[in-house]
Amino acid sequence: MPVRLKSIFFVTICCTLLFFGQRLLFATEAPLKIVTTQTLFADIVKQIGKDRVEVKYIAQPKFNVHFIQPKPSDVRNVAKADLYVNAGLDLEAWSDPLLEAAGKPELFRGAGRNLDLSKGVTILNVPTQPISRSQGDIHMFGNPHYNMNPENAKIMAETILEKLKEIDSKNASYYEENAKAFVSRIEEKIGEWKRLCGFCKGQEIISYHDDIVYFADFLGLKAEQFIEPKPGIPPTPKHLEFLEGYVKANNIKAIVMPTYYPKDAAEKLSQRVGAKVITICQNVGEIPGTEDTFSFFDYNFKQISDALK
Amino acid sequence: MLPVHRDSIDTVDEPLVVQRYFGDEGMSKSGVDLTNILDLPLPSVHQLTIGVLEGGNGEEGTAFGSATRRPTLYGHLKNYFDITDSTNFELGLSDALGSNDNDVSFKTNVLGLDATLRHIISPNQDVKLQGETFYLDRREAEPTIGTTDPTGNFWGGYGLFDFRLSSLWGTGLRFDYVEPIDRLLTDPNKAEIGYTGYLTFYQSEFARWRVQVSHIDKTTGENDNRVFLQGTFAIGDHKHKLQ
Repeated sequence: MPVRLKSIFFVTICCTLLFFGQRLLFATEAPLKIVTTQTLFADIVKQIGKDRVEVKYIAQPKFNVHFIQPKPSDVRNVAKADLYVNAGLDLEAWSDPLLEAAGKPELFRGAGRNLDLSKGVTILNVPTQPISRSQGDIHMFGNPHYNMNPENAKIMAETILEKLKEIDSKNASYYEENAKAFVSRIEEKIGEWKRLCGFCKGQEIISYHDDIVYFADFLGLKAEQFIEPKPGIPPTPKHLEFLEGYVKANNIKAIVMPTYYPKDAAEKLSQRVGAKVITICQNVGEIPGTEDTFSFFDYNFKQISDALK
Repeated sequence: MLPVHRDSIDTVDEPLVVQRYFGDEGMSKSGVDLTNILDLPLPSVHQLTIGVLEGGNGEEGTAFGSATRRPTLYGHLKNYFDITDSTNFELGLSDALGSNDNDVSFKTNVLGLDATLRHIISPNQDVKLQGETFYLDRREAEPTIGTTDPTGNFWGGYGLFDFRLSSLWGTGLRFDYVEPIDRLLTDPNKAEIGYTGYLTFYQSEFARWRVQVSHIDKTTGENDNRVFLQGTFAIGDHKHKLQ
């Protein structure tokens, strides 16, 4: 080989080694791509994964999570995801069709990269009798709104931690440290919220939909009557008349509902009986000032405490 | 072509152009397709579908011939743009190539263009503007003027305005224009023009009532006035909210 050609060959080899070498030496680890169905889940994942995860969510918090219409951009995000975090049970009826559209079998319900956060949570109101559509929109696996109890946020954090450690074992200690900080902070806040709302125990509230059972359970509230006569069925004049008598007879001070249900019926009832209509958010970011798990619960407990005083 | 579930369309019936060209209930044919979201470094989403259907049309359709053994090939490119969290836009391009009689393959070409702009005002209020147009290029082996199967170019389309007023009520208007394929039998300069208005009452998440009034000016010079009352119910374990 002539000297000139040898030199060109040598320089080419050096440049190639330099190019790939620097990529290997300075390569930054790509964060895990995680898609969650709800914003509360997204926040907990973010608090545990921090800069090692890139989190996107499907359901805008201002909409009813039962009935989201996923967009093509959601399908694309799911198709690129390493992990799909969801509520499980039968809350997000749109979730399975979304996963099918994304076409990634490892994210399908029951597969390794599909994280069902209901795992480990004690589910309330599990039907013990056969159910039918005549009872309204009954959840056949029990009430799926478990995200409303901060005690369950601890369980969800543990479930997320275990999955992150499993799929990204290199960063296990990093995730453990962050999860520990999250759980420790939420335990501290739970004490604060219990103190703030301790006096509410035993009081009764009216809710628009049966999505408050875990919140009520946490505070020891009673929530047995709803603006909806049956789950998913809008209020009728006859039902509102019944509620009017019920609220008066039981001296109920608060009617609670998230932002996305129509307020007319609750306000009409409020005018007749004097009970206050308050917003109890169902997810992080539903209204300004509820941008993370802590401010979300802060807002809800402050609202109920102010209303029941 | 906008691929919509029958219970998801905003009106009682399919747009006139779909009825006349593909069938009263659209192109309901057996087939197979492949869909892929194109992995492009863009914030928008682009999805390509290609497929093959058995030949022929849906019931009363006229775009293709009636021979089921000559398949129809089709492709659709959907381009989706999130303008803001509350506003999105979808632009679709489609093409279908099929036979128009037993002897000739792929002599009818249908080009389609669809666009939908949707703006969500609040969880219970939204506005949708939708338009779709089809252009048919139809070639016969032996054109025969005056038959119901002529050679020629035809086009049609519709524009729809849909307004969900509240959780309980929705309303909308549709304008239709279509050049019938058998227009040589009547007046070649004329097209069918339709005006439709509807009001929907969403009784609950699983029951919906719709009243629709349509007026169609036909190519024969006659009018067709129709009133529809439609009830739609979702029953069973498979929960599927009526939109």
